[in-house]
Amino acid sequence: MAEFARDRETGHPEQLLADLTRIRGAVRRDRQANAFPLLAFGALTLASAPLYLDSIGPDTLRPQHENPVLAALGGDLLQNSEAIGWYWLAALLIGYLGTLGWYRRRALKVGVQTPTRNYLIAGIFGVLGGLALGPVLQFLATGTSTSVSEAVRLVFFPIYALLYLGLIPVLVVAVGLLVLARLERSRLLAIAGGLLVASLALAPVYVNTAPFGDDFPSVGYLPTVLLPALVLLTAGVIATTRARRTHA
Amino acid sequence: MTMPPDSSEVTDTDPHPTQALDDTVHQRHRLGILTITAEAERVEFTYLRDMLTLTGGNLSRHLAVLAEAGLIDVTKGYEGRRPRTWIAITPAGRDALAAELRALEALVLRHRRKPDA
Repeated sequence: MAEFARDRETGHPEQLLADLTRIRGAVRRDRQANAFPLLAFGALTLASAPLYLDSIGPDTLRPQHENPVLAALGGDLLQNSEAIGWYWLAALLIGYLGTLGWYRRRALKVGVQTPTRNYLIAGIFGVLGGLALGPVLQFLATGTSTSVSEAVRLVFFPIYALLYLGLIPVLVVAVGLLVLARLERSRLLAIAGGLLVASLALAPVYVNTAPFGDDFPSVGYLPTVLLPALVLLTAGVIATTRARRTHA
Repeated sequence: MTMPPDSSEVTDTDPHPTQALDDTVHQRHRLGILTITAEAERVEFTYLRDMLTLTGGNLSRHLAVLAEAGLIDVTKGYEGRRPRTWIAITPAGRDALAAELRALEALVLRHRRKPDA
C-alpha cells in the first residue's frame, strides 16, 4: 500500500478510486479467516458418518421413534436418529462457537475484525429452527385442513426428506457459511455453501433411486453425509492454501 | 427533429462534482481510514498505521479530525496487558464515505466526457 501512503496531494480521482479499490481488497484478504469453519464443519460432518450406518434400508417399515425434543435434529427415520440428534446439537454449538472464537482471535492477531453478529444470529436461528422444524411441519401436515396439509407436504417435501434423513444440521451449516460468505465478501465460501446445498438436494434423490433394492447395505446412507463432508474439507484445504499464499 | 438531451450528458449548468467533495473526508489518508474501517467491524490502530504507512502521530491527528466530525468512534482498552486502540466507522462516516465516492466517480465521468473540464 506504499503507493497509497505516499505523501502527496490527492491526485487524479481515477487513480485515487483505483487505490481505494486496492486497499479495500487488501483489507478483505486480511480479515478473511474462512479456512477454520470449512475444516471444522468438514471434520464434524465426517465424524458423524458412523452414526448414519443403517442396516434396515429405506423401504422397510420401522418402529416409530420417540426422540427427545433436543435430539430432533436427527430426524426420526434412521436407526441412530437420536444419537444423530444429540451429536449434531453438540457439533453445531461447538462449530459455531469455535468459529466465532476463531474470528475473534484472528481479529486480535491481525488487527481487523469481521462483523460476525449476523453469523451468530444465523447459528442461533438455525439450531432453534432445526429443533422446531419437525413438530411445526408435523402440525401443519396433520393438524390443519386437508388443502393446507397437502400444500405443506408438497412445498416442504425437500425439507421433509432432509429432516427424515437427519441432514437438517448440514443445512444449518450451509446457511451459516452463506451468511459468512456475505459478511466476508468471500466467493470461496459462497461456492462452498452453494455446493453444500446442492449436495443436500441430491441426498433424497439418491436414497430413492439407489439401485440396492432389498439388499440395502448398512453403508447405504453414508454418501448423504460423505459428499457434504468432502465439499467442506476440499473448500477448507483450498482456503488454507490460499491463506498461506496470501500471507507468505 | 430535435432530440432531447441525454440525461447522463454533462452540461455547463450542472454543478461541478468537486462541490460535493468534503474537505474532512477528501484528504487522502482520511479517505483511506474511512475506506478501511468501512470494510470491518473495527480496526486496530497499528493495522491502520501499517496499512497507510503513516507515523503514529500523523495517524492520531487524522483520527482526531474524523472523530471530531463524528465519522469514526475510537475505543481504547486492554487485551491482557497490551493496550489496544480500536477504530470503528459510524453511520455518518459510512454516509460521508459513500457521498465522497459518488462525487469522485462523477468527477471521473465528467473528466472522461469533457477532458478539459
